[in-house]
Amino acid sequence: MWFLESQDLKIEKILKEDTKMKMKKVLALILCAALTFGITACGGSKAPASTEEPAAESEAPAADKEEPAESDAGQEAGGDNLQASKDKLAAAIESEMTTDNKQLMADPIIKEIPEAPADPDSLPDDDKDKYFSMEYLDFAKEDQSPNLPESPADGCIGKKVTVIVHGDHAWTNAYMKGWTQAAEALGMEVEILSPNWDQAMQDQLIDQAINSKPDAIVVIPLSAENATQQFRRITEAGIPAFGSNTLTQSDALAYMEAWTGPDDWAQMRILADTLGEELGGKGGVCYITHNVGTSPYFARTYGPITEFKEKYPDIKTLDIQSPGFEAAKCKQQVADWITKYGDELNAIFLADDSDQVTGTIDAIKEAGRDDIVVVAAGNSKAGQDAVKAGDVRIINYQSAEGDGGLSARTVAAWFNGEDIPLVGYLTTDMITADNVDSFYPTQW
Amino acid sequence: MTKVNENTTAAKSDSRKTEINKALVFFDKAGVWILVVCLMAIGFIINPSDYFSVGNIRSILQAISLTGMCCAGLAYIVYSSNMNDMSLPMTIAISGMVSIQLVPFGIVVCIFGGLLTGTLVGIINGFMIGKLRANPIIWTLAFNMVLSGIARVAWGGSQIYPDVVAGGNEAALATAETFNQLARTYFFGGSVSLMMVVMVVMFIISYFIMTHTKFGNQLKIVGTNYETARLSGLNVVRIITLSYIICSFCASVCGLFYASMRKIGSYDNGMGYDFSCLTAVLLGGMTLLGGKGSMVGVFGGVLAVGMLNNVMTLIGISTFNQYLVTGIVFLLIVWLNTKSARKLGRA
Amino acid sequence: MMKKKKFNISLINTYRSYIFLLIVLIFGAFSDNFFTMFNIKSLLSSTSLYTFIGIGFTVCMIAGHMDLSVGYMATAGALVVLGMHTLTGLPWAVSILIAVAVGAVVGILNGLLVTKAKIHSFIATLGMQYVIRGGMYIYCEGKEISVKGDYGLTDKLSSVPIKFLPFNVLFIITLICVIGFSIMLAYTRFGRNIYMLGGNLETAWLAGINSDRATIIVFMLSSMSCALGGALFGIFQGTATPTLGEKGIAPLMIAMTATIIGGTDIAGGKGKVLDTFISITAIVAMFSVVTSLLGKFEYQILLIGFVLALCVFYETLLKYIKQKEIGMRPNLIIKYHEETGK
Repeated sequence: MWFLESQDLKIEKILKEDTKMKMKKVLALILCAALTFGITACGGSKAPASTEEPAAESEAPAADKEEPAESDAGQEAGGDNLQASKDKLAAAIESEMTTDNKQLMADPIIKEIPEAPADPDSLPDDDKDKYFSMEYLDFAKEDQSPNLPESPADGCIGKKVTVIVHGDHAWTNAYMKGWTQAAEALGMEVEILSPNWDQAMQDQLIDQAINSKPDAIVVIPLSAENATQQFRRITEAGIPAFGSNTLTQSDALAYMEAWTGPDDWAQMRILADTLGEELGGKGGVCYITHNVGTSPYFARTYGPITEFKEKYPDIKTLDIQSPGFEAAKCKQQVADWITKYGDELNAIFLADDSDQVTGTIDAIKEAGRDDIVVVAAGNSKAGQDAVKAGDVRIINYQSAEGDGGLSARTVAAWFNGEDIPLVGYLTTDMITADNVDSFYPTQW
Repeated sequence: MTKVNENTTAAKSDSRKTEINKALVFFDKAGVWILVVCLMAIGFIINPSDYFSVGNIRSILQAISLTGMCCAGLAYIVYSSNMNDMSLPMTIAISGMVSIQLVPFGIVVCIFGGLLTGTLVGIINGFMIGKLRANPIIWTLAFNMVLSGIARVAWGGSQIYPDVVAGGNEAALATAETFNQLARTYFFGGSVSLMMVVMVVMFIISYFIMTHTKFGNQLKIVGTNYETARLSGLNVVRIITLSYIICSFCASVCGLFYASMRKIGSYDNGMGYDFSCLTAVLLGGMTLLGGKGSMVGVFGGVLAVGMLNNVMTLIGISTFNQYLVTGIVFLLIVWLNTKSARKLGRA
Repeated sequence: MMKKKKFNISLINTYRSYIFLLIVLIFGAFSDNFFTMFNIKSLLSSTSLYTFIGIGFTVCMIAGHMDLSVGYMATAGALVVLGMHTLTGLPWAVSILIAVAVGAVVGILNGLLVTKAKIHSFIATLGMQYVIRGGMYIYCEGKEISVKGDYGLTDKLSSVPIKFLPFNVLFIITLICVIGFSIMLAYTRFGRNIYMLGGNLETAWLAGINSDRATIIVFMLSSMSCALGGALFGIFQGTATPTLGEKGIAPLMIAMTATIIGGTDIAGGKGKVLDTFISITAIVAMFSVVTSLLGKFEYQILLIGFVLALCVFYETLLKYIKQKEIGMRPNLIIKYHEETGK
């Protein structure tokens, strides 16, 4: 039977293919195994390193524990470490520089806090006092949680610090670089964890950090509201907690040794003042916001709005939109505004100076509206290039590496038993075409 | 009595049928272009002086050109009933990053390198889905994650700038400048940009491939019924692989312009393009069952999304409400599409 | 000999989520402090949100549908429960009920769009995503909502009722839901009907199942589960933000990945809630292990991608081999089976 034969042939073929498939299966399995071994290898290579770290770290606590036993010698050893740490900190503050040749660990700025308004929630959207609780971290040191750990005052050298950032971004990379550089100069060990913008993941990382018992934990909280709960957990575990970068609710300060970061609100007010002067006190302004609901959203939108209301009441707010950080979308947004408002539109206030700037400039150039003044918050490479080219009038200087450096300095000073301010702000500056050259090369 | 009843019911059902037919046939023919005309009318009422100005039309076209390029490719995937290519975002990102990395070797290498990378993604997708018949959604999702991981590990999660990659080299800096100017090239005194031209050309080519070539007709059969196509002797593997390659190629073109527009290569280029492009394609009258719809419709869908955003901004709807309006309009149009196709016996 | 081999391979495929978990745990042994009470407790409680979303997604997928709105539904659940408690001042129980009711309404809408308007579930829920997102932003005006220092229920959820077991209340609730859904799917008539719907809609209809009603209920259950999960997550965190999971890996993606690694068939008719839960636990544990071993987020997404791609690749290969059999005559297939032992 011819068809049976052919079928048999087919079967043979299939059998052959089947063995081939089996080979493939085996291959897939081998690949899988290779992958797992690869991971083991990676893990293995890391594992000794991580075992070394605790070993190095355990020396310092060991010195600690000896203290009470042989008081004289122990204290002297601690004292030596403390003195060395203090010297190192003083030297590092002077010597360490950021990529753009500024001081890495500059002195923090301390802001005076005015009287709190009576009922902020009832005020209109453009009233300065409505945002009082966001603008000022109004918290007395006496009200802090009694569980807050006291400084060991035995020097920062050899201390292990875990830093939990908010997510992957070019800014974060610069921040991490600043922290690592400062930690190296100060003789601290630092481990940086990133939750990639995921709230649940950040909570898990905090648990993980608590679990591995470092000497201090620094957190850039993802959400201002949730920060209180996060810092509460760290403090209750008996580990000193430090806040960084993102503004928190003021009651989170109850569970923090200190908070450091940029003063977004003040920077935006200065930026708005400069813009108001530029516009001659009148005109229409449109705003592109930061991520809705976050602290920079309020600072970078309502900071200028409230400032204009107070100092330049003739400057009108035309529109506020949140197209996100995509250059194409910002471009469309600005083009639509130009169509809608025409000559009424005199200035655009951007919450970010990379993609938003790129999109906005393109739209303005296409429409041939060179008279529109663009100002932006932040200093990335794109923003600085735009200032240099004359497309953007002003951006504000907010050092990412300096942010990390300041945080490291505060932590180190706390270990050294020095008196640290509860809230310390980053130094700032305005970048215009005149001084832009002194801010190169950029950090990110 | 009964006879009369039957007659009347018959007549009734007949009349009902023809009634429905007229409106639905119209909708079936015109599709999303009805929405486009409506939006035009609304825009004209709101802003009669400026709406049809060169500036506004250019801004709409400019805004849709990136999405448009992707949609011109994605349409093939949807048309061949493979639902969606979830690896679009990383195809866009990786092709942009690779081409920026190749800037020191001259503009030609840099562009071809980017396009080649994108096409490679398409070949792998095509092999897995065309040859091995993996589930399209899940495979592309998994592959997107793998690519995203590779891109993040390879570049350490940082952004790359063309002029930084070029370093101090003069020739390379010139190439970087050329690369940045890709998205900023204009013709006819600034009224037409290179991006628009590329998008329109891609749509026209796609239209001809779909309607005037053997491949287009075969794709329709494959999309309508895969088994029938296979049993009638079509080389289904080749057809599906080819459609994935076209899709990824279009995405990599989009990736080049995206990176050029941002002047930055980063793993988050093109984030969210997987669903936003699908939205536009579906608005244009294609269905997930495949084999239905046309390139004209897809272009209408892309245009409608851009015009909707434009009109909403002109009216002054805030970003929050824009999501809601977009969602409702999308559901409404898709519902009408499905309904007309079903009542006309085409689904 | 042959038989044994075949047995092994099918066993690997059936229990792949468990194997995945096992591998992760083995690597966990390499990292310091992985097997501590505190760490395990924190890991288990952070699976909660993903598990609830995963349950919803799996149930829908078993019925042969895709519910893409699950991620935003969970966010909406968190916002509604905190909004109702903090802004409106309702007690917790009522706020949770309202959040779940909102979920039910969205689910019914999804179901109606799919069954009555006959829109493909992928598209209908894609559109619903935008609608939920818009509604959410309008409700909270783009702001975060927090419990404003009222940590009573938060602390209760994170307390550990049974000593020596690393289970906090939140995880116990999650576990109860997983077991409840598993029993519902395996032992009730309605549960079996869901499998039938996914296996073959027409057969199900011919067998006398009210397929429209069942589909609507499936979507309702899915959205309710997500809303409940979101609500509990919101209370546990003490905050809800409308942008949860917009950057990084969205909860939807984790749920989707876990559902597929757990062995649920995308075409419907096959799958288990328990397996989804196990894979979610494995994924969360993997994140933790990778972070402590490799330190960087980049490797997490690479590895999860690899695991998913491997699963898909393996499944596809198996199917591809099976396809080779199709088209052979029945008597020959028997012969072929005898020869190969399959």
